[in-house]
Order: sequence, then structure tokens, then C-alpha cells
Amino acid sequence: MSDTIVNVTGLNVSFGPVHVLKDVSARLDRSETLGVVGESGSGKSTLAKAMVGLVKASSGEVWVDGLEVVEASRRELAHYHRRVQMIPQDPFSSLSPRQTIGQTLAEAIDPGRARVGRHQDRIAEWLERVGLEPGMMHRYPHEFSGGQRQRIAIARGLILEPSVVIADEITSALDVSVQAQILELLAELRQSLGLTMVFISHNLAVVQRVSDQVLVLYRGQVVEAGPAERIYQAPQHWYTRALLDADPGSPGFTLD
Amino acid sequence: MTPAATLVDDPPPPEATPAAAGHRAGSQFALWRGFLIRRLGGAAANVVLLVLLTFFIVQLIPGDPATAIAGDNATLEQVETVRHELGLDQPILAQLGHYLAGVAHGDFGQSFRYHLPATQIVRNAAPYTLSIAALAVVLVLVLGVGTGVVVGIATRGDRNRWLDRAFTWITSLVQSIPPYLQATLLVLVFAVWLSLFPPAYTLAYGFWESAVLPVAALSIGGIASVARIVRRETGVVQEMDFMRTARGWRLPPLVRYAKHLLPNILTTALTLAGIILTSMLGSALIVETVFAWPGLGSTVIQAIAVDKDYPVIQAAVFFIGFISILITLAIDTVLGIIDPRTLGTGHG
Amino acid sequence: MADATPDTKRRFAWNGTLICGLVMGAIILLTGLIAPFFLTEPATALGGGSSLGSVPGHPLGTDSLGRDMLARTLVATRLTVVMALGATAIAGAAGIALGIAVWLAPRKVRELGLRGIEFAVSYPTLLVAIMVAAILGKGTVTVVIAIGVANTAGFARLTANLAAGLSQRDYVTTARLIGVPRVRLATRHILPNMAEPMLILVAQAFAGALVEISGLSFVGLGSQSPSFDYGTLLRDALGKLMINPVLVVGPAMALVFASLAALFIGDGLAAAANPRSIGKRGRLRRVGQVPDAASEPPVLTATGVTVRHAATGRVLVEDVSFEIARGEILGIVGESGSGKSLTAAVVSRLVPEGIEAEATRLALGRTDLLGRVSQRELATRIGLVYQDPGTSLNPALTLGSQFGDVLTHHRGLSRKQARQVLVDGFAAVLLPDPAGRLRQHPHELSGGMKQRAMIASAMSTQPDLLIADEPTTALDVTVQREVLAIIKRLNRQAGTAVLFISHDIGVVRRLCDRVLVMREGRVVERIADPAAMTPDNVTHPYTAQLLAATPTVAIGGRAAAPAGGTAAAQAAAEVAP
Repeated sequence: MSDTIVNVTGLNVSFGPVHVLKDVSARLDRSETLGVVGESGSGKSTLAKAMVGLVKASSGEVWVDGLEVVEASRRELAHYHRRVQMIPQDPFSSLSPRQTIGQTLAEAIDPGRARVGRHQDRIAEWLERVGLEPGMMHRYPHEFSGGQRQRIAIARGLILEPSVVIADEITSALDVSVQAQILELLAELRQSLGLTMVFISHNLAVVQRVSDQVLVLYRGQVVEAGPAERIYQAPQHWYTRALLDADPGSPGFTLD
Repeated sequence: MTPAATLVDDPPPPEATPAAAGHRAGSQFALWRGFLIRRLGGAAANVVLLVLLTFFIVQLIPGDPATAIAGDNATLEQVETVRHELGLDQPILAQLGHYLAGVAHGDFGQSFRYHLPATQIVRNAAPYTLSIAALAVVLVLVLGVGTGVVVGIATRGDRNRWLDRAFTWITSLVQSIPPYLQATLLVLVFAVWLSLFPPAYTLAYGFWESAVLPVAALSIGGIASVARIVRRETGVVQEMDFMRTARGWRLPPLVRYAKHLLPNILTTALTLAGIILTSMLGSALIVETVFAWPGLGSTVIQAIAVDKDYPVIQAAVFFIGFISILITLAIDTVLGIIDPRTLGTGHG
Repeated sequence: MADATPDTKRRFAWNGTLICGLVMGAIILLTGLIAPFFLTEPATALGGGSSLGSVPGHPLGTDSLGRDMLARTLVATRLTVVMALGATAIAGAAGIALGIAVWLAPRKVRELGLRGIEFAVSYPTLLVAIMVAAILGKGTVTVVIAIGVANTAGFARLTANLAAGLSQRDYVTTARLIGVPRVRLATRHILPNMAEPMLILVAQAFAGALVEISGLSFVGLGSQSPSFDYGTLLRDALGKLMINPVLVVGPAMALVFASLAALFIGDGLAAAANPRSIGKRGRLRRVGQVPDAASEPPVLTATGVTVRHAATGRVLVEDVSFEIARGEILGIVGESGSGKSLTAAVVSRLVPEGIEAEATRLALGRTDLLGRVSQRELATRIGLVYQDPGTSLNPALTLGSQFGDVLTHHRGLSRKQARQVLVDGFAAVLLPDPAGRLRQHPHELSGGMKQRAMIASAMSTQPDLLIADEPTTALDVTVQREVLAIIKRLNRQAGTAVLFISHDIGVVRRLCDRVLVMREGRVVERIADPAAMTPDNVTHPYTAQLLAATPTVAIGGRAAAPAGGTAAAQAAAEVAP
């Protein structure tokens, strides 16, 4: 527990009168993956946004990689955003349609100028790492399939070798075969790079494939958190059990 | 499946339970209150802006009103006397204060040319403009929306390509002919050749008979632009999932279009109506001069281009702007009644 | 579901309107460029016969000073086009700059700026132009500036709106997050992606400027003698309309021609940017002959269903055959592009635009669906449930109003009877407060409730066949289970046959009695006992691959699964608000 990199305590977020997150706490060690599970309205995406300072918390503390995000200054956040990266959900709106893949990746390395030539080797290396060909850097997003685009989005998220990656529903827009390939890629990258990741999904089974720790959110509250093994084998909270039973592959699933 | 299980599986949204019905009515009220406060506040701010605008525009117009009023043959002293009488020798802030005080009482000063209160001149001209504009708007909405919907339905998918082409050609052609030229052509055909209507406003004919050609000139362009936009919107709405649902119910075409499609076009049509309406007030400025129609348009053009009659310019511009603001406010309110979801949006 | 293949490149779709507009535009530009060099002499020389009608040598007549009207019109093209271009350039440059500045500004300033723009847009353009002209005095430059200023607000509004829309896109959010400076964000991510709508507005604004400038010239505020544009020519000609009507022809035709060119370019660009999915009415026809059905035919018989894209002839579904018996649930499972939804659309006789379908046999019980079938029979015997309850319900109508139509039109019920049927149906799918729901609009219900209402409506005609196309894809898993349970219960109680389309083999195996696996338009495997299906006992490798790829929770030796009642009791205890 000495190597904690994400530590959220007592986080509250409200949009007007609606409390989206209520007293949420979470922690994550280096080189581990925290799976955040919840259905629509559970606040899981808000938690991701709060971790990168995209939404303002009304109270609580969010420590990520040595920075307290809630009270952080603009300047501190600017540096922070190079160490903590977010991979968005929709592969069709996450890449700028008028930039080549190379330009998009170069922009991640050097946001001010984005010179592809200077960073060519690094871009090529990362395209290979996510299973694409280096020559693809000169192509535009519309030339790629959804799965390929998601690989590019992953490369953009990892190219700065951030200390934490936040992946928000990155497989939910994909066909199952493609999803399986992306999950496999993530598993490889976890192994080879020692990724630290917050993996957000509505799908318990997907979360189980990538997570060491799991956090279950229900209507803005943490109903259960702990090691993945424990959550899946011995769920304590009725809602976790209801979620598990709702998975068509689970033995508890009935339609009667 | 027990009824109680729904508690776990499908938490209803806060407003969906019967117990929350009272709360829903309350939030509806709060929505309307917020809407009215925002819109009335916005409209008030716009009126203030308009008053300031009318004051400063006149300051910017080159030339010296005192010289203009005193006439070309006046001596320097006479000009100074006029200047003093009008308060034009005072500092600009004092003039502004004087102006604001006047406007607050509905007083824009005396017309330089007619020696009547400018307000009265505008009041006399306004009914002429408003009546033809109102008629034109009704025509534009009925014919424009009607044509747009019918053509949109008829050309769904790739059907009736000829109609698609003809519609595009005709509406483009109408939009390329300037309103004053349309007006003149109407005069040529219906007044000169066919002698059906008077070519210009005269007391010899009835008001409505004289109004036919101006109204036509004013509305033709509007009909074309509304029809184009409504037609495009009709195409979009027809491709929406709920229209497929209606097809799945195999409802007769009339029910499908009149009941399921039309309400979803109304919002766009009304939003448009506001823009068309205000732009029509602009076209009226020029169309009126063609028909010698004694409305606001002729008054403003005469005051600006010929008379340099500043109080009349100010009063007329203020009035036209004020009507535009009222129209926008009215349209937003009607939209709010038709589609309560627009109440929460903050634009405008 | 996202595609598995690269999406078709958005090619620029050249079209007749655009080409026509460009050709017309080129003619005008050439005229404007060349005419003044050759025709200035006849256009300005005095002394010919004055006020002539159409005569040889002067086809469009001469004005009161004896100048040839055709030459004057052609020469005036340059000034007219330059003025309109100038006004459009001013409006475009100022408007885009203003819109982007507003977008870049801090929140408070931005909101104020947006309101200012809205106010300016709602004010009549021509009045603004006339005011500006009054301030600056008469003349060519004045009119250009006046019309430019008057149209600035329109460009500013479009820019601000587009920028607001684009900044919601993930690539802008992500770029902002990784620290791309705001100015670069505007120049690299926002502005380039506005190009299409902006070009369309430029073309429309140019056409508008032509008409408006001529209007100002017409009332005497525009170009002053000796220079002349279409507007001044028209002004002179219209003044002599009764004496010499032919004078109007030249400038009027020229003005309309120029404005049409710009409008066509605008229309053409719009059509090129969003090519309409070209689609003739969908068609369904019979091929070949098969013997009549047995004495007791199944609820649905589909034999040799083949679907093609009408324009390209590409085969989307090939020779698919199946039957569904009364009380049976047949599942069709496949990924995007497998043709599963098209198959469902064809058997429900809702062939989409641009699609051609054929079958050797398609029958609903004894009714031949390939022949003439009354709308009433289709409406009452086939119930349909769609994927996204959020978009497949009409947002402008209450549930009672839209669901009631099918009952009043096809089952001859009164409004009141229809309401009662729906209230009972809503109760059957466990919607709380069924009567109250009828008065609500779709946006007042959660996704799961909407889908349950949709199912109730589909079942309200007591159909023989319920076709459900991905009915739970848009729903949460716990809600999904509930909706599946409702479908199963209605199937068991009423004996309704169900065709269930899904991408999720995990769902299908738990719900369906039989399953077809589709891939690229073909049935690759028929599974008679889905519950017992494992990667090892299926025959086609694709089915095995699908099974392996579908994630399921792995639970080894877990404790007893809690019953629904227990969970509900705990729910009441733990989340009491």
C-alpha cells in the first residue's frame, strides 16, 4: 500500500441540485488497474472527469500522482495533464478529422507545435506497439475502422508514458470481436509497460478481464470496493449481486 | 419477476413517479418563471440598447441638423438660435439625458420637416406597414410551410426527381429577384397590363385593394425561403426513428404526416418565422417606396435620404427595433408552450 | 455498434447543381473581367439615338442619353461583382473573427457576446445597412461597408454555433486536456472543421449581397454617376418602365443570373457535403415457385430471402431461410454488417429505401407476404420493437396519443377503448401508474420504461409475431434482464412467436429456443439448443469465435445466488433516500 498513486477521499460533485457523486473514495496502487463499474446515472464518467479536473468537486480530495486535483491551480493542472491521460469513449469523434494520425500523435507530444518530422520515430514506435503500421501515420481518421481508431486513441493516451491512464468506456462502441482484440491489447500493454489504469465500464465482464481492483458505483455512491477476485467471488452488497446476476453468462441469470 | 423487483432494476427518474406529480407541476412553474425572467430581462436590455443606438447613430450621421433646419439662406445667428433651441449646443451627456427623458415619455422631439411630434408621424405610418407585414407573414407561414412539407414528403428518398429540380429552380429564381424588382414586375403585370389592382397607394381605391400588390411583393421571397428550409427539415424528420415506428404501425399517410411529422417541424418553422418576420420589416422599407405606400419604410427612407429629419429617424428606427424585439419574445413564448423543453435553454 | 470495416471515405460528391452554378459563376467572372476593356466605349459614349427600344444594333435599347444598354449591363458586371464580393468578404472576415473571439473569451464575456449577436441577427439587415449608409454618406464604398456590416452578425452567429458544437467533440476536449493552446485549438481543430457550412453561407451571403446592394443603389444610396452597377441601371430603367420597358431586361436578367449562380453554388456545396442516401422506394418481390405450405403452417415462413443494395447491386443478405412456430423465440445473432436487422425489416415488410429484397416464400401463417396484404393485417399481426427507445418514440406526442393510433385505425376501437387496452398493457409490463403514463411525453420516462411501454404497445394488437430488433442494446444490464424477462413471459403466456435480433450471443442463448448465427449476410450456423452451446460443440469457427470473444463474468464456486425478493428487500433498507 506504500505505492498509492490515486487516492480519492470523500468526493462530492453536484450539478445544480443533483448530487452526482456522494462521498466517493477510491485508491489505486502503481502498475495496477482499477475497474469502475456502474450503470447509467451511476456517476462513473463524472468520477473520471473529476480525476482530471474537468468537473469541479464541491468537496473532498482527489490525489493523483502527488497532486491534489480539486484545489490545484491552472498551472499545476497543465503539467498534471501530461502525466495523467484520458482515453475517450467514441472512436468516431475522438480523432480530429482534418489531421493525419501523425499530427494527432505529434500534438500529444508537443501540444504547441505538433511537428511530425521531429517525433517521427517515436510515433512510428507507438503505432507498432498498438498493432498498427508506422506508414499509417500519414493517413486520416476516416481511413480507419472503429477498432483501429480506438488503437490510435490508445496510442495517443500512452505516448507520453503517463503515470495514470483513465479509460472511459473505450470498448463499448465496438463489436465483440473487436472489443476482444482491444482488451487483449490492453492486457499486453499492462504487462509490457506496467500501466496504471482507471478502467471505466458498464460491463462487469469486461472489467473483470482487465482489473486488479474493482469499485462498484450506484446512484453516485460507492456500494462496494476491493480486490477484483473478492468482488466477483464473494460480492457483499445486494447491488453488486444484482449486477452480477444480470450478466447473461452468470449462473444467477434467470428470466423467470 | 415480482413487482417489487422493479425497485432494484429500474429506478424511475425523479419526476416519473405519481408521488412526484405535484413536484412536476412545481418545476414547470419554476421553469416558466425562470424563462420569463430571463426573456423579459433580455428584452428590456435590448430596448435600452436600442434607445442608446438610436441616439448615437444620429450623432454619427454627418451634417449639421441646425443648418438643415434653419435653411440655406439663414444667417449664422439664426443657425445658432436654432442650435440653442434644440439643445444641440449642450455637452453630449446632457443631450443624452434630455433624449432619455424624452423617450421615457414617448417623446422623440419635433419633426424638422413636418413640425409635428415625430412619435405622431411614426404612429400614423405604423398601421400601414404592420398591416401589410402581418398579412404577408400569414401568407408566408401558410404557403411556405405547406409547400415545404408537401414537397419534402413527395421527394422523400429519391422520389419525384422532377419535382425536386423544379422546386429548387423556382425557389432559387424567386430568391434571386430583388423584392423591389418583384414589386415592379407585379405592378407591370397586374396593374398596367391587367388593370386588376392599383399600381400605387391612392385614396381612389380601397385600402385592401391597394394592399394586394405590396403584400404579394413582400411575401413571395419569404414563401420561397421558408419553403426551402421547411422542406429540408421535413426530409430530416422523415428519416428519424420515430417516423419509422409510425410506418411500422402502418398508419395511413395523412395521420403519419399530419400528426406525427408536423408537430416536429413546427419548432423549426416558428423559429424561422421570427427571422423572416423581422427581415420582412426590412424588405418593407424598399417595397413601400415602389408602391408609394405611406408606411414606416417610405417614412424612414424619406427622412434619411432626403430630409435629414433626425427625430423621425430615431422614432422610426426605435419603433421597428421595438417590434422586432416583441416578435422575438412572442415566438420564444409560443415555442415554450408547444415544446416545454425549450424553456430551459439559455440562448437569447 | 461500430463497424468492422473502414467506413467509406467521405468523397466530394459532384452534382449537377454545383457544376451548373460554377459554370454560371465563371461566365459572370469572365464578363466582369473582359467586358470593361472592350465595351466601355459604347457603354458610356453619348450621342446615339436616345431612348430606343429593341432595335438592330441595340438589342436591349438605349437609355435617355443614347447609351447602349447591353454594353452598359455587361460593363456594370465588374463593379457589381466586386461590390458584392467586397461586402461578403467584410461580413465573412469580421463575422468569423467575432464568432471565434466570442468562443475564445472567458465564460461571462462569451455569454454577453452571444446575446449581442442574437440581438444583431434579429434586427432587419436592410435597416442596419441603411443606417450605416446614412452615417457614411452615399457611394460605392459606403454600400459595400454597409452591407458587409449588416451581414456580419449572421457569420458571427454561425461561427459561434459551430464552434460551440465542435468543442463538445471528443477530439477537441482531448486536445484541450493535453494542453493544446486555445488559439491553436481554434485554428487547427475548430476553424478547419467549419469549412463546409461556412462555404455554403458565403455563397448564400454573396447572393444576398447582390440583391441587397442593388436595393440600396435602387433607393439612391449606392454608386453615383458616372459609375454604375446593376442596381443603378435598374433604378434608371424602372423609372422609364412605362416608356421603354425593354431597358429593364438587361440589368434584371444579369442580376438574377449572378444571384442564381451563387445560390446554385451554395446548394451544390450543401448537397456535395451531405449527399443524400440515394434511395428508391424499397422493393420486395417473389422469385421462383415453391409448393403451398402444409396444412398447419408455422407463424412465419421465410425462404430464400436475399437483399441487395439497389444502386450498387451489392448483396447484403443471401438466401436466408427460417421458420418460427407459435410460442417459439427465434434468435438471430451477428455483428454489424451481418444483415440481421435487414432480414428483420424485410420479413416485417418494411424494406428500407434503396434496398431490393426478394424471397421464394414469405408467409405469415397462411397470408402470403409477397402478395397484396392489407395494412390492417400487417399492423395487427406483426408487433415491432426497436433498438433505441429514446429515438423511436415521437418526442412531440404523449404515449397515449401515439400508441392509440394503431388501435383506433386498425382495430376499430374508440379512443376510450384504446386507452383501456394500453392501460392494461402497461400494467402487464409492470409500468407503475399505467394511466398516468399515457399522458406523459417520452422524455419524462427512463430508457427502460420507454422500452417496456414500447413492448406493451407492440403487444396491444395481440400480434402473432413480435419482431424485436436489438431491443436491449441501449439499456443497462439490470434493465436488460427485466425487459428480456417481459418478452419471455409475454411469449409464454400469449404464445406469441418472437423474432429476436441481437449482437449479443450471451443474451440470445439465454432467451431463445433456436438461434441463427449470421455473418456477412449469410446464415453460418443454426443452433437447435442454444442453452447447451459451448465453443467446443458449435460447428462453425465463427460461432466459436463469437462465443470466445463475448465476455462473461467468471464466477467459480460462488455462494448461493440471492433471489430477487431478497435483493429488493435490501434495496428498500439500504437506499432509502
